[in-house]
Amino acid sequence: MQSVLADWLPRGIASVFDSPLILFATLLLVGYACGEALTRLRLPRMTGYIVLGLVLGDSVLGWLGPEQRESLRLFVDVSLSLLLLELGQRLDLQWMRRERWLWMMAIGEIAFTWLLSFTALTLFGFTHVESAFLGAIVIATSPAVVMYMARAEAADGQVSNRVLTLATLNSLAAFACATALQPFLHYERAGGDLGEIAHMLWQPTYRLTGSLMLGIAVFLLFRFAARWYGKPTVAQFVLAIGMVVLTVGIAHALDLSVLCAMLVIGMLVKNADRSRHIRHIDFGVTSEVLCVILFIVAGASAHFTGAPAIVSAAVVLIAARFAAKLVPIVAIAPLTPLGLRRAGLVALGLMPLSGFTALVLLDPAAKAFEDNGRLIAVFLTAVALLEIVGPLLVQFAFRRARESHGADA
Amino acid sequence: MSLDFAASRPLTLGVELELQCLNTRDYDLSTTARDLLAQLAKLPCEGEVKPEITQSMIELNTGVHDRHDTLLANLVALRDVMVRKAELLNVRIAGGGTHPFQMWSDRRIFEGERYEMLWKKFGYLAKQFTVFGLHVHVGCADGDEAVRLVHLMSEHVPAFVALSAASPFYQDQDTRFASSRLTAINAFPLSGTMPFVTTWSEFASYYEDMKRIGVIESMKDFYWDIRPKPEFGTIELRVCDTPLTIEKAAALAAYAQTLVHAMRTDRSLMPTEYAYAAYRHNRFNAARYGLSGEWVDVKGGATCDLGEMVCRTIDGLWKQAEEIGTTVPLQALYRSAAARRSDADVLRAIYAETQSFSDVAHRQADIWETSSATGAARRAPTAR
Repeated sequence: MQSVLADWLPRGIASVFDSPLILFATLLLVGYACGEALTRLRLPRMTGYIVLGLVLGDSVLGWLGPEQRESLRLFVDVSLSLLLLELGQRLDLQWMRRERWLWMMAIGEIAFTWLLSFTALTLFGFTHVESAFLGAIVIATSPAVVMYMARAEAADGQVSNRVLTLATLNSLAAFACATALQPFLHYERAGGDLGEIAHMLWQPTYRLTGSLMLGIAVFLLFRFAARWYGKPTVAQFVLAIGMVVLTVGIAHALDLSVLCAMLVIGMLVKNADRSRHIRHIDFGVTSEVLCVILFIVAGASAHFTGAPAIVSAAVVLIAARFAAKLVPIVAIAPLTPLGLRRAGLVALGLMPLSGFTALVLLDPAAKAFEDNGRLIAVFLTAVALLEIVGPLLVQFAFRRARESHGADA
Repeated sequence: MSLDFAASRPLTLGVELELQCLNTRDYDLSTTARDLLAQLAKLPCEGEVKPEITQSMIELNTGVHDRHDTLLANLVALRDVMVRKAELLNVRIAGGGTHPFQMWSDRRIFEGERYEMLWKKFGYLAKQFTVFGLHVHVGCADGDEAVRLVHLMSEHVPAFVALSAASPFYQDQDTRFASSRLTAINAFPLSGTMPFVTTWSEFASYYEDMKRIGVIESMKDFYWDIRPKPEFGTIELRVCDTPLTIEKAAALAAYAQTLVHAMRTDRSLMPTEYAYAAYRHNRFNAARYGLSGEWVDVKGGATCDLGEMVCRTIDGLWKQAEEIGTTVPLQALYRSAAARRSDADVLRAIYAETQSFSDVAHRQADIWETSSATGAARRAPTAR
């Protein structure tokens, strides 16, 4: 952005955009205004943030490039982590023990999504290993989008609760599958050199177990501190923020997954803190401020290719993904209190696909796709399309289910 | 057309309980009554489950019973099935007269013509009416008896308020009341007491006048503490908070039944308008201080606390209790009155221990779901 402005702004004024604080403030104010404009059209606020990010980002103007995005990384990570912590707390294992068909729904939609995406990607020309890896990424519903939308709509009911539960489970499954498949991707890339495989196996094993251990360790520390502080809201709020930032910091330092660690902490807070030392914290306004930046950066990171052939292929991939989520959920719905119509809404609510999650998961394997530009463009265009459409679908699902009660609803 | 009183078998009992639907996240009220009602459309036992004014409430109605023990069994069966269905929806059910920290502005009016009309008519009062009460119906032979019993039972209204008090917390605050729920009801224009009429024809005439001048549309518009319910052939005691347990709800119904039995037996007891002289004073003290609240006996002019008043009353009812099988529940209420300990004290003790209203609501659900003699609800297999 500063390079464009520098051409016509007096020297010294353009340089103010070098400051991450001014960049943060500008994006916050402009982004919130865009979000507000969309709510007046009864559209999701976050779509305003994402569209602004898309326009400013690599796909259109290129003003919010990798360098600027990197300077906002702390805000983005903390924001994403707050949403993940909250989402993890929505996974109620006691409920799942009683409502066992929910497990079947989760397993069905994860397996079907992987299988159909794998088939579609193979038909597009990816190798089997590449298709398996990308198929694993496609499993994940964007945890940030569904959690943000559930909060914005103050959604409460069977559709929203199931969307959040299934999103948590499929995000964890996607992380585990994608991480486990990385060695095979590298193995294929290395031309089947078995000498490399032992080295390659170490990395995913380390990331999986390390992220899990980090989540457990932070939870134990969190619970110990919460017990010592007692229940005052402010103390628990400060503690929660501290734990989130600590987790992000350690995960970065040790190259572990923030997504996995935060979801594990959230799940443990909900399911393993039996004496309820950790109280439920609503991050509310704090989280909203950070989410503006999160979703602008998410939009800016999207890679959209406008060529009709690529867009068409991306739409086919999206359709396959929707069918894969819809079929098992609708098939199991009659055995649950959900009913067929609302089962369809649950499948719609699971459609958002996170650009962040995709990029985070793709990152360690990025080299494997270097000479596969056209095909990866199909995949990333599908991700970008779902980033725009995803929040609208979630909003539609929650509202049609009559579960939206928020100020924006 | 005059207002007819459908006679019923005297002393028959029925109970309506308004219950809280809680989420399992932070134990705030959830808006899942609609889903729960769909699950409870067919019940395997006698009774009914109905919506209430906001989507966080659900009302449980028992069948008609002659005895306390069958009423309790019916309540336990209804509670158990409701809890099992709620589990499938990840919802908890709780007793208590108020939710400790819900905000009235978050509530949503239940879909339906009557509820929409109430929202339009009463504004925020309709949402503030997300409070939870126990209504006890006792059968009457005819309308004249119903009018007589409504007046005679009025003397005992403060005792029922104090015994059932289970709403010390409201909107994230300790109200310093034992029953803050009553305050929400006081705001309605037709709350309070039935006018002093002495026969059913006088009452019917009053009712027709009120209807003709447009103040009411039906009997439902009278939010009195105790009122005749002509379509059921009962008197309906409406001042009790929903207790924390099923047993307490059944015991309060049994107390009302025993009092009515005694009043029907002693025909010399006749209502007087003067009996209402200290009504509001006694009722306020009961809501504010519970069983430790001062009670003024207008007949003798003496004062004592409500705990003592209840103990003395029950001491005079053992014979009648034996006749209709209410000795055990009355003993439980006697112990509670003698100790001056109501559910409001239980809730305050939980808060003192946990320092969290969310934990209080959580514990309310635990108590409600596991309180019965069978304790079956949480342990039963998850049958559909």
